[in-house]
Amino acid sequence: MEMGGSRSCPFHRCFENWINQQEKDLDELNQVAKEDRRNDEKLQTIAEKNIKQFQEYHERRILLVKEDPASSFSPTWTTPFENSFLWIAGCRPTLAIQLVYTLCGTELEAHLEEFLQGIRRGNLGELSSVQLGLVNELHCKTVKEEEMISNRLEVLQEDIGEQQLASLINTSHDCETNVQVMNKAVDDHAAELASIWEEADRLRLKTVKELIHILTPLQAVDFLVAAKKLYLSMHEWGQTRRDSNPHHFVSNPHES
Amino acid sequence: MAEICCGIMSESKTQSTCDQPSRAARRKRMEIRKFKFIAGNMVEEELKENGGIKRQKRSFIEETTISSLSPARECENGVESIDYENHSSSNESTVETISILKSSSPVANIPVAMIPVVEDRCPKFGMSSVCGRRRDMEDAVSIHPSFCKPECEIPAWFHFFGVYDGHGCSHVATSCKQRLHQVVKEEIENGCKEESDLKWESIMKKSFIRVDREVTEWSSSSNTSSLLLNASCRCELQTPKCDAVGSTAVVSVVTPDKIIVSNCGDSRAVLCRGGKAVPLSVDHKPKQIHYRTQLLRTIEDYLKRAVEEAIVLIKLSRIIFKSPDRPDELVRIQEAGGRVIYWDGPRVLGVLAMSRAIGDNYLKPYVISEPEITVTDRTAEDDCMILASDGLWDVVSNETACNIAGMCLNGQGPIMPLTNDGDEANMLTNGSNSSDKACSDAALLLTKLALARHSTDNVSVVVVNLRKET
Repeated sequence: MEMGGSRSCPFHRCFENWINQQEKDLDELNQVAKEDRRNDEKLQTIAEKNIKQFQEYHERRILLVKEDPASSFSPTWTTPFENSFLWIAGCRPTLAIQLVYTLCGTELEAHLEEFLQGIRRGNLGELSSVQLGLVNELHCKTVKEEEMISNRLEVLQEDIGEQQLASLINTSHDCETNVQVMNKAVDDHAAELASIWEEADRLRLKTVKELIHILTPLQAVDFLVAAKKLYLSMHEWGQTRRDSNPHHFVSNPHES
Repeated sequence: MAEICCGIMSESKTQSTCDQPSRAARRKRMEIRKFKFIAGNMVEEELKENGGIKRQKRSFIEETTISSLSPARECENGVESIDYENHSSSNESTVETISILKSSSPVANIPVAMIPVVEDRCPKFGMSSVCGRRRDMEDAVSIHPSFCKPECEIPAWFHFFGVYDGHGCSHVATSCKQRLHQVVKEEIENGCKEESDLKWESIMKKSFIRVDREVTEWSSSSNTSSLLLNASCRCELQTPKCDAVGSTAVVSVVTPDKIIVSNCGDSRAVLCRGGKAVPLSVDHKPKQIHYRTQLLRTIEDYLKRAVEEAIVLIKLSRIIFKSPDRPDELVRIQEAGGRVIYWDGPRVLGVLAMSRAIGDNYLKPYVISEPEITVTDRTAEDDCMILASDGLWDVVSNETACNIAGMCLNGQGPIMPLTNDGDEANMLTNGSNSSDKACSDAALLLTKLALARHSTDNVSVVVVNLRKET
């Protein structure tokens, strides 16, 4: 269910291509995860390929964001459900770590009996103490970096009250200097916004990369499968919810 | 803060009795090469026994850290490895050493020389501590094997294990980690001067209160540079924020014949004895009663008695003031003039969900730092002891924890997966001696289980093997 007008939006096209790509990648990952669970080389190759694609998507997006930062912060190409999870126009980097914990936990609980009997599958439930230590370290580090980026956005959002923009509200709108001041302030704001976005995206990418590095190739592929499934499912759930809510079409002028 | 650590203790006799280079020893050497060498120190001790004098050289050959984890941090997330070597010298020919080959170990042919004073061995241990679903790491774990050897009782090493779960910020837990074992050691030594047998109750109480006072003085002193701890914590040690910081403490001193547990707050120590779980501490935590049930009960109560009694205010107050799990603690709090108020669970003054803690200056005198102490005699049936923060106990029962730890110690537990990159992974995870690994596997498994069961808190687990292997 796609809305006609928004297709012309470059963000939308970029996103749509990405979703299609994700679906293809997921099929491929699933296949390898099923058939080549012992073939580390193959598992590693596909994990790296996915990371590379992720990186390329980020590179494509940053070009768009630099042109129009404000739009990227209020996406119309994703569903309101997805948007409710957004942190700096994307997912929280720590989400990846929480997903690893969840997968580790589910695998462990599901096979606890077998595990205690000594049966090994090499999946995420079997994170070693060294791996868990590294994941935890990455977690603590990522939380700190997330907070620093959040902080930048907070400062920027509060700046609107201090900046020259606030002093313009009582002056005449026609005055040319005022227009210039306003344009400058809006441009500065946009540049800062783009820079924050870039940093956030860099952290997202970095966290996933480091995580893949900590995991064994098999664990990495299992993780990527789960991450992509979650991502695609959220998009799907969001669409189902949006489609069943007719008010949405009225309330979102961008998509009518 | 990541802390995954396992204690490895192996006793190997370098003399002719077992001069064949064992596989384990080779693996161990290889393992050591992978670790960053930090420090080496030598402790010499003399043991008197059977009328003869045996000179035993105890060399702490290496304290190692997995350098890939973080070179900046030292032993914090390291693998501690202690080797004991016996050196017999020619002029001490009367010395008898009994050596027993350990055959029960799953890894075959590990020659182990048992020294006659079995109790003097450091128990094997393992630990795991993760931030988990929280955004702040406020747990701290402190393990000090052979931290103290008092003069007064049988000369033997005592071992220290502590789990601290901070609230408000991490700095109180951090200072407990840095200081409590030192203070306990000093108090044990002081106690030795006064009397021949140790008064554990008073030693532990004094220690806790001393550390609590230090924490309070630190946070109230403006001179932050005097602090032992680094002020990189969230509150940055700024008053009044840092006044509202505290930590639980569950501390165990293991001696040759006793287990002393002191507890303050809602972390817990559990002993696994003969397959059964024996709690060694009682949480200072008001019971979580289901809010709706509680409310309905209160309303019913109110309606019944409202007719007879016109004092509506008292009835309403029953919605607010709950009776906690520990009526004795409630009485203590109320006698000190405090109140337990229901706010997302019963809390002291509606703030803190536990009735005792180190720190928390602003809640004194209602929240006290005095620990409750249990002294338990060690028996042959003892398997292990688990110390953990409420991140584990909230979602895993004492019994389940004991079963899992027991299974790991019995060798039924984890044998690490076959990985293709083989040696490196196995080396890191397997260590040289699989029985040493059992404890850290148990701690790891319990941590993962807590994460699996959606523990929302930091999870810290220490498992100490108490089996007296012969």
